[in-house]
Amino acid sequence: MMKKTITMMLAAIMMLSVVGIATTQTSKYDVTQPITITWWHAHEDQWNQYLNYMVEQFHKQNPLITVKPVYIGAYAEINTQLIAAVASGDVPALCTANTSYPASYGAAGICEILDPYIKAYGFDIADFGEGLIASTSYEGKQICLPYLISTQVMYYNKTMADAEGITMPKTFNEMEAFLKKATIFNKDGSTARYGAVFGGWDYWYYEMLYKNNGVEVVCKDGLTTDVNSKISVEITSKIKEWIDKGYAYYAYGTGASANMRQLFWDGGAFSVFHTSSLYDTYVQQTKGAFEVGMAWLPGGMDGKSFKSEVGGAAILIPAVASQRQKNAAWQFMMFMASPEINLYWADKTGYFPTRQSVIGTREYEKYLERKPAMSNVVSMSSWINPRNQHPAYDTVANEWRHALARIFNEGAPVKATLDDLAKTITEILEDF
Amino acid sequence: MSIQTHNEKQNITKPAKIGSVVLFILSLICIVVSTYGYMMGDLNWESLQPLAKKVYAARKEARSFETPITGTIDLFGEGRGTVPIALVSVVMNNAVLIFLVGITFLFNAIMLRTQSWERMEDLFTVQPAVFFFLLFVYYPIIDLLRISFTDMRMLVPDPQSFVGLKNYEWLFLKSGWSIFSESLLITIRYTFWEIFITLVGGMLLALLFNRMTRLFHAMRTIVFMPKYIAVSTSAIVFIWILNGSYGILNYLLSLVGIKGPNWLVDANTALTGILFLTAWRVVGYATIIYLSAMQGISKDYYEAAAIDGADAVHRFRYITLPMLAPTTVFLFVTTFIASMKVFQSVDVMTQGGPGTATNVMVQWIYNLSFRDFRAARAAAVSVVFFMILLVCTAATMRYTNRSVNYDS
Repeated sequence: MMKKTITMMLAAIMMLSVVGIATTQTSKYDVTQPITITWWHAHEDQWNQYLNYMVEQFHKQNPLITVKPVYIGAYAEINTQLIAAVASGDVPALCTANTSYPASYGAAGICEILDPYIKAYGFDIADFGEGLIASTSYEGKQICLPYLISTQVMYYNKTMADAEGITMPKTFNEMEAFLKKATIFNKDGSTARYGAVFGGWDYWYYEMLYKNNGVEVVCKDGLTTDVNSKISVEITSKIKEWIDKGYAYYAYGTGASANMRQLFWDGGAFSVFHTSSLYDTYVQQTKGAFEVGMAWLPGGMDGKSFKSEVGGAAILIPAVASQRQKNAAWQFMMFMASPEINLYWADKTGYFPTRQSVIGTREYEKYLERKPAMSNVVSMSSWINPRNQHPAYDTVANEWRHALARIFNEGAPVKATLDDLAKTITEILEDF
Repeated sequence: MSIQTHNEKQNITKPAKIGSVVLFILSLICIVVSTYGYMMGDLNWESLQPLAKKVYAARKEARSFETPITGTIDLFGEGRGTVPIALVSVVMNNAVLIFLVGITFLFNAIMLRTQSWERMEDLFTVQPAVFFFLLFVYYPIIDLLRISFTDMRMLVPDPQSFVGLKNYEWLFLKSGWSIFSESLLITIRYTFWEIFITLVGGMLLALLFNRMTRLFHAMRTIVFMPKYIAVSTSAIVFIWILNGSYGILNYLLSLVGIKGPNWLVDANTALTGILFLTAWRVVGYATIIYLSAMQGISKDYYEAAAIDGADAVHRFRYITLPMLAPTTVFLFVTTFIASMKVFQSVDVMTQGGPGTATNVMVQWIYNLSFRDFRAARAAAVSVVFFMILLVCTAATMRYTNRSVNYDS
């Protein structure tokens, strides 16, 4: 009897200590008093209603926390303001950042490391998949969470494709045949309808055409580049040939994105390289004139590599915020990244459902019924990779973009221009 | 300030003398304390780094838990200089402010000993403005110079290490030089055309509008209105006016059989596109300035010239132009400085592109800071650019002071 009592007491003590540990583990990050936190974001007016819905739902579930969303501007503007805020110490509790920035932020140590919070709350980070986890980590530490994720896609006129029997290219090798079929010329030889438009205002839109064929703008050693390698010269020459023949054009400079979209809606382009996040915009602006299809980017010539890179936004907590702010921000962050809210945003915009646990649910099936074009892309989502983490990558890739503009739009010689570019990039990398 | 005579010095009262001594002691304390704080903070002095690290750690903890900074720090070792960390933190953060306060005390201490009370009253009234100027205008310039000798990066502003002339070496001897020289040339081209448009366009419109009829009153208002519209707003509108495919300018040109270029995308026309916006904004302002000056020219000169048989061209060349010389100088200098520092229109319309076609100096400095995060390099470029502007402005003022007639 005594033995039994002692055993039960020991078991009870052990249970209490486990609960105690759990309580200790989460109590540091709990929100125990009312707090108002500021969230800096880049959502424009057309998304206000979804943003407000999300915040209202969060307030209902978390009455102690009031979230004040503040529109700062585009991601570049948020970056500028965040730098100033970190320097002054007066930071928002939560901030949205384009997926190209976490590498620089991680290197500078300005993001709160989220691993202790993830562990304390048992947050299922693995549900995002390896690619998204890697894209929001730095040196193995989770520094932000995926929030609104997109990837590069080709939008195309599905009505024309069905009528004319045009199949979207699966690999780079299939591009030429595709472009020949999709392009229409006027009697005077000018292009009436481009087969494709390459997005040249941001290197993100075309870089996978190179990377899936083994070209690295910044090699793994972080000091060299192979933008002037044989394969890179070959790809660049091929694209230039298509542009010179009138099959395609390189949309570069101010207004390039808007011009490209308008051309597509006017029927002047069969397909365009753009971001999946604008799917709804593309569909709405056709005004029912034709159906918009969405295809994965053409993969490598070997037919084995179909990688794309993550785009869109992540959410982070600045490391210099107070612990109270961080705790409240973490609660909101978990809510924003939850499967339900993630699917809600995916449904209302063109961003991806990023939580693998939603796949197969009834809501997910309904979402695909409403957006059938997304299924082509969602089915390939395991190919989404993080962006290059080198802190100088953005600087270097923009040099590449300008060099390609000189080649495609101004007739600069391919090999010589890429050789000069390689020297410039090497100098920048050595300097960093 | 004139040297006081012996008689005037005898008017310095005892309270003034006591006040002088007190202020002198306070100034010494402020200067010594602020220098120490500056060396520990901004200069990241090597021997003071262990102490600075303790302060940063205490700040981090206080910020994290939203509590005051606690704890003490031993400044001189062996318990000889134990002070609260909070005090050291305040001194580090406000070293420059404390230094300027110390200089102000010192200045007043000296003046109290050498000047009469009436003169002191005058000095007291100007000191706040001077203090403000020193703190918010001159100190940032001096700190910019300091940053240019460090390795500061935007994302990690503290602590910084002294790197000597490394940034200037990059600017003048390495890869920075090609970008610097190209950017300076682009800026000079832009400045030349803005000055030309301002002076010539403003003068022509002023001559045209120098008539006191109701219609020209309305025209003057319309021409001056662009000055009231924010640069960024008008730049966004001009992006669409100049759009190569859908812009109204190319549409109008197509009506007369001209195929307009892709203004902001073609490297040959991008700067011209920006100058369209500039012209629209500046010509009205220059017109109003010239108009006011023209109406100040005495009619007697024109009447005398008419009697002597001078025609309109002669009257313009020998009367109007020389009499407008001070106004022209004013417009030249102000336009020169403003246009060399152009940024908003370029950043909104082209961000320095296509390629580097419109990469003016301030745009490059901005990109160095906020795109590449190389704050120290941006500081070095800023210092050099500042010196160029200073020399040019001084030369302009010297030349114009000699050759311009000011007729009252």
